[in-house]
Amino acid sequence: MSFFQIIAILIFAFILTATIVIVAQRRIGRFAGIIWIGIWIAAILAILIPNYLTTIANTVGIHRGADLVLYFVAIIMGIGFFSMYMRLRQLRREFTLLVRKLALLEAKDVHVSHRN
Amino acid sequence: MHIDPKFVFVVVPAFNEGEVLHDVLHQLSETGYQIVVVDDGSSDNTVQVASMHTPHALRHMVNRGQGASLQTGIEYALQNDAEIIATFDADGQHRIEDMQTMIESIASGESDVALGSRFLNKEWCQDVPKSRQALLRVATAVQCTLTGTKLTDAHNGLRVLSRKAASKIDLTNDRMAHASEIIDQLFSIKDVTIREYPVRIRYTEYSRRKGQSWTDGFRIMFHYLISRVFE
Repeated sequence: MSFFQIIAILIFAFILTATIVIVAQRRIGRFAGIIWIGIWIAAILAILIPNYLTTIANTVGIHRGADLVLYFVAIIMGIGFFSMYMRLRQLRREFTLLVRKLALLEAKDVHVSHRN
Repeated sequence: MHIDPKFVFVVVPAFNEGEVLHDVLHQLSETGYQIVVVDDGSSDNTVQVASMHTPHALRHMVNRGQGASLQTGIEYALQNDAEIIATFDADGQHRIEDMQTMIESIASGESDVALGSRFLNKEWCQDVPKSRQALLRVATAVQCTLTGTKLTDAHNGLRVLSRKAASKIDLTNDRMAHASEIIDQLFSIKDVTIREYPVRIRYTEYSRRKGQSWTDGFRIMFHYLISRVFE
């Protein structure tokens, strides 16, 4: 086993343990938990047995296992950025509505106190 | 038809305009209209200056952009029984008499929406600095193509709306792209008459400094297009 493999497996093993603890404490949903645990286990397997990644890559018509990982990461990041962007837009919108509501409420207070 | 000035609300969005706001509000308050200043989270004395001139000084705790400020001011005016709502820039670039002409035309029922245009009067056109003219002409052409309208000036801050028109406006574009958004929404309302009125813009060193540049222009167009795609 190479030096890289040992370090990478230790890191993923740590993340896997942390994820299991988080799921056990019900801080994230069971479905999301299973997906994350599945990803970490797949990563550990891919590092331990690089050939199995190549085998999967070949079955979908890609030559190298590393390319499969690259495409996969690119797709996931694309989806991630887009959903973050949409979420950010939504948050900005909600934030503006909140700021507006506060401004209007404050103005109402001023008016009541003027009348008194 | 004569309209009681206390039902006319002038919405002035202001972000760090403390330097010039005093003069603008002083002139506006002589009209007898209700002045609504929306301080958009300024870091200077904008809200203090506003409070000296009007009881309707609203404050965004955090800067949300001019579009957001206008929407806040319009909603406030509607809540306070406004019949006519004007929008007026805080930097003193608009003339009160232009606004009054537009208000009278709305009050008389001539139109429901009056939009200011700095390009309708050939003579007043000359005031517009050449670089701004070029930018605005392009912006107007782009806006007309995108919104399918025939207006002569994009992004003029002087507008007057009837209560009916104003209550149908919901600006979600917080920043400068609201100017195109408001046009879009106004033109989508049924049985509302929209007219442009010639207005004269006072270009000062201050207003030019605060004005939009070419890069701003592209950014605004980008924001507008994005919002068209997603909403």
